[in-house]
Amino acid sequence: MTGRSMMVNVQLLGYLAKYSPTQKETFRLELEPEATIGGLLEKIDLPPDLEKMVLVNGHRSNEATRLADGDEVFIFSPAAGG
Amino acid sequence: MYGWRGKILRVDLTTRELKEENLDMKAARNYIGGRGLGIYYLNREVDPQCDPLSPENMMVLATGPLTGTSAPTAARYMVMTKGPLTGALTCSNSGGQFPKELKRTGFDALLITGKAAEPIYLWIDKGRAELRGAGHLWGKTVPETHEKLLGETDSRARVACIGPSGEKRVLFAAIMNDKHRAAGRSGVGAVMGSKNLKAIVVRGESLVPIADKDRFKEVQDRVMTKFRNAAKAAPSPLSQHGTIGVMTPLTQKSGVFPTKNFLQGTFSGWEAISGQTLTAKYLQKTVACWSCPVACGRYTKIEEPGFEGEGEGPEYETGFALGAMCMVDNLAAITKANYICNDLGLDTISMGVTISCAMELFDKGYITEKQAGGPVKWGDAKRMVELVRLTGYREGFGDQLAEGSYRLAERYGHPELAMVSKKLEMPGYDPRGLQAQGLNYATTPIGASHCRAHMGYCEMVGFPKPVDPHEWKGKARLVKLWQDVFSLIDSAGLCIFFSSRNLLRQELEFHPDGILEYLNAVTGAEYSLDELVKAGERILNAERMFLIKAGFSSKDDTLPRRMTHEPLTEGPAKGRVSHLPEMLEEYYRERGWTPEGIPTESKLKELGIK
Repeated sequence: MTGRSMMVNVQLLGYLAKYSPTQKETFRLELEPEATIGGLLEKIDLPPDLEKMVLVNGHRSNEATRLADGDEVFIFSPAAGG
Repeated sequence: MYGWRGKILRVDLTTRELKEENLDMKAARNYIGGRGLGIYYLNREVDPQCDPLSPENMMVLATGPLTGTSAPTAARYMVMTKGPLTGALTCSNSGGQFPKELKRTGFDALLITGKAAEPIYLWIDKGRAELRGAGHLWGKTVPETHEKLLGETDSRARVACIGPSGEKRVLFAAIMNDKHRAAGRSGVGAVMGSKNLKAIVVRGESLVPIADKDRFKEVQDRVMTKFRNAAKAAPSPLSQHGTIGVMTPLTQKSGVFPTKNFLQGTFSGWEAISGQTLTAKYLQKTVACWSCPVACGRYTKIEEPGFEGEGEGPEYETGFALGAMCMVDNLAAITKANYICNDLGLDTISMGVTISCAMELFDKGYITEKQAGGPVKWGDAKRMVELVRLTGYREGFGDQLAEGSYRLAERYGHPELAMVSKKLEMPGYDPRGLQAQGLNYATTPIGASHCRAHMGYCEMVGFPKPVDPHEWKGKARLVKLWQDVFSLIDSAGLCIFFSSRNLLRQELEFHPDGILEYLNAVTGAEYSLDELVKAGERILNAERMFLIKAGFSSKDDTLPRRMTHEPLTEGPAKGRVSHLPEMLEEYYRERGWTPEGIPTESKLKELGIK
C-alpha cells in the first residue's frame, strides 16, 4: 500500500501552521492514492468550520478536489486581509 | 463641532502668509474628509493644467472625521496634489502617529501653495502655526531631519518631512512621517521640495470630540469583540508575518507575483524574500499605527556585511519591487534598499519597478554599460542597492532613474518596457492573472495603484467572497463599486486593511455599513447609507473631472502592451492576458461616462458636482 501512496507539498499560512504535523508552515504529507482535499484537511485536523481558501497548484479548489502525487497545496484564511 | 475640527489652515509659502479659515461644512458633509476634501479644494482652486512643480500647484494634507479617534485604524491622512510623475491627480495615504497629531492641532486640513524663497518648515504648536527657516536641514536625511526638528520644537511633536530625494525632485519622492511611514506614491515629496518646504511639525492637545459617546462605545465594543473572536480562531497572518508574509506566498502560488519586469508571474527565489524568512532572520518587533489592532508594521535589523542597518520594512510591495522584479533573492539587500528609500524619501514601488525596467533595457542591449555607469544585471543585489542610493541623490545613472520607468524607457526608445499606467509604476499583482485588478489599475485617478481599490481581495484572497480571477465579464461593476467604497475609507481616515474586512458588509457588493455607524456616532451628521454610497461615487467623479480638465481621457486608461498582448508563459496564470479593452467598455457604462471616459452632464448633476 505504501508503495502506491503519494506525497503532496503543503503550506499552511501564518497561524494555521499550528495544524502542521511539523509545526512549520511548509511540510510534505503522505496520502492514500486518489485522496481529496477533504481527506487532507481531516488528516491534519483542521477545524471544519474554519474559514479557509485552498489552492492546488495555484488553482482554487474545494474539498472534493482530487490530489495527485507532487501537488502543491496552499491553505490560508481569508482573514489575511486584515 | 464633532469629528471634524471645523478649521483649515492656508499656507502661502510665497508671501509667508498663514490664514485660518472655517471648514466649508457643506463640503465636509458631501466629501467627508481626507481624500474627498482634498479633491474638493483642488477642483476649486488649482488649474488642472498647471505644472505640478510650479508654485501654482497646491498640496492638500487632510485628515478624515474619524482620524485620531479610537476607532480601529483611524490613523490615516491623505496628501492630494497634482503629481509630477503622472501629471494626474495624486492621493497618497499614510498612517503612523503624525495624522492623529495633525488632527489634534485643531485643523482638518492644510492647504499649501506658493514657493518659499528659502528652505522653510511649518510648525504647528496646538492651534498656533508659524514658518521657520530650514536652511540648516536642507540636504539632511529623513532621520536626521526628524531628530533635529524634535530637538528644536517639542520632543512629543510628530514630523512629516522630505529627504534629499524630495529636495532634488525625484519624480517619485515620498513625504515621510514618523521616520518610517510614507505618503509614497506619485511624487508628492517632489511637490513639497519644489515649494522649498522641508517639513511639517505638529503638536496637538485637543482630543477629537465625539458626538455620541455611548453610541460610539456600543459600535466599538461590537466591532472589536467580533474582531478579537475572529482573531482567536484564526489570527491574522498580517500581524505575524506582515504584508510581505501574506501576499508573497499568495501571489506566488497564484502565479501573479510580478517578476523580472513582468516577464514572469512566479519567482524561484520567493521563499527567501517572504515574510516568513523576514520573521525568522531579521524581525525585531512588530509596529502598529495609531489605534490599530493589526500591527502589520515590521521593525527589522540587518547585520550582514554591506547591508547593515535597522528600521521599518520591508512590506510586500517593497519585496516584490526591489526583489522579484529585479530578480534579487537576497532579503538583506532588499531590506537595506528599503532603509535607504526611507532615509532619502523614495517610493519603494516606483524605485524597484524603475530599476527592473533598467535591467530589461540593459539585458536587451538598449542601454549600454557606459550609459548606465556600469552593468545593470538581473539579480545583482549590490548594484540594486547602489542604484537606489544614486537615485535618491540624483547622482550618475540615478539621475535618469529618478525620472521613473516611463521617461527612462522612452529615452532609450522603448516606452513599451515601462510597466506603468498613467506613468505610475504597477504594484505587485499581475493584471493578466487578476482581471479586475488590471481594470482598477487602468482607471484609478492616480494611475496604477492597489490602494484605490484592491481587487486582489476577492480575486485572490477570497474575501468577502471568492470570484474567478480569470473571468473578465461582470468585473467592471465590481471595480466601480469597490473604487467608490475605498474612497470612503480614505476620506473617513481609516486603513483599507482593517476596514475592508471589518467595516464593510461582507458581500461582493461592498456596502459601508460599519463606516456609516462610526461616522454617525463620531460626527452626529446622521448620514444615511445611500448618502454615503453616493458620496463615494461623488469623490471618484470629482477626481475624474480633475483628470479630464488636465487633458486625460479613455486614451490614458491603459495598461502596458505586455499585459494585453504577451501572455504569461509559466505558472497558474499561464497563457492569460488582460482583457482590459472589453472591461473598459463595461466600466464606462457602469459609471455613466461617455465611451471616451468622460462623466456625462447628467451624472455630474446627479452627484451635485459643478
